[in-house]
Amino acid sequence: MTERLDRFLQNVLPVSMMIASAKMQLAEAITEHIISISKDAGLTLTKRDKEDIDVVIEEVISKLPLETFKIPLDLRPRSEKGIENHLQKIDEDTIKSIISKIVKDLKKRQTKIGEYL
Amino acid sequence: MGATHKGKGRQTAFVSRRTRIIPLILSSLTTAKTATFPSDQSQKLEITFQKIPAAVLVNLLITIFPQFIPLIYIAYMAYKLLDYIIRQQKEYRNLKHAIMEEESLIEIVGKYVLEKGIRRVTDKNTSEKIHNEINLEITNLVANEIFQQMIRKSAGKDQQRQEKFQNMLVSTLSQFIVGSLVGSDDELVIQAARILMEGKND
Repeated sequence: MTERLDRFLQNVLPVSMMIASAKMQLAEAITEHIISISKDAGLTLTKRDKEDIDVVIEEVISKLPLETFKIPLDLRPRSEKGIENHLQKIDEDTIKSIISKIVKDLKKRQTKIGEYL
Repeated sequence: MGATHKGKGRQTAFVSRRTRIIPLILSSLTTAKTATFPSDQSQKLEITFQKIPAAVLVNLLITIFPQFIPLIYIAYMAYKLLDYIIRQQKEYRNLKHAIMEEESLIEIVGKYVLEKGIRRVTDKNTSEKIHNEINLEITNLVANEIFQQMIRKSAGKDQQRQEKFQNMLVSTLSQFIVGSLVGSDDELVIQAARILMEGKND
């Protein structure tokens, strides 16, 4: 069992680091996207609004299935660039469904941007 | 009545103390024995002795045989050490048994989940409990300095990014570990579970 647990951690830990990094990059990209939409719409976002957006995005992205990130379990961390390449492999439909889930949650929280979207 | 013997036949303080104490002890033991076990005296007397705490017995022995104090003390210490060793061995056996049970439970759950293709544990409370426990363990693990260094390396100097990265790492590790234990339909988690349960890396 200990040996299997070691192997499990040897595989899971590096990939988890990469997925966490990918999750963060995706969250940042979606946050930027939503903030730019609200700017285009002429909405003035308060600090509280931005925090709400951050919380909703983090909640949604942290629960995404791990296979979304297309990072194989035996891959070893190489560089940020490598993670970006994997992020680009996420198909458009998946991104759309992630954004629609975030918008739904923003509406549920009755945020300014949620009401606009 | 009450006269003190003098000369060679005079009682020493020790003999006099022992003469007074022995009947007292015997009478208290007999009273306790008859009160607790009215019949089958020989067997019950043994049980009554066992019920006397070791420290009390030692004090009694020291009072009766003060010349053997070092021996009594050594015997008492040896008894305490033996008692400690026996208790430790018992605890170790119980712990080993619990660990083995836990390991086989994990294997059984894992095999059941993987072989039968059941991807979700229906008992929501069990699943939630496992999730909460593991989440807490992972949060503690990630607070370790080695992880913090890795987080700083990946997220840069910005405190907010570091916190965000840490949350994402905790959630990812939880997804992997909880999913491997309670089942998941995520292909990556299934692969990880195979390593944990069967040692297969394909």
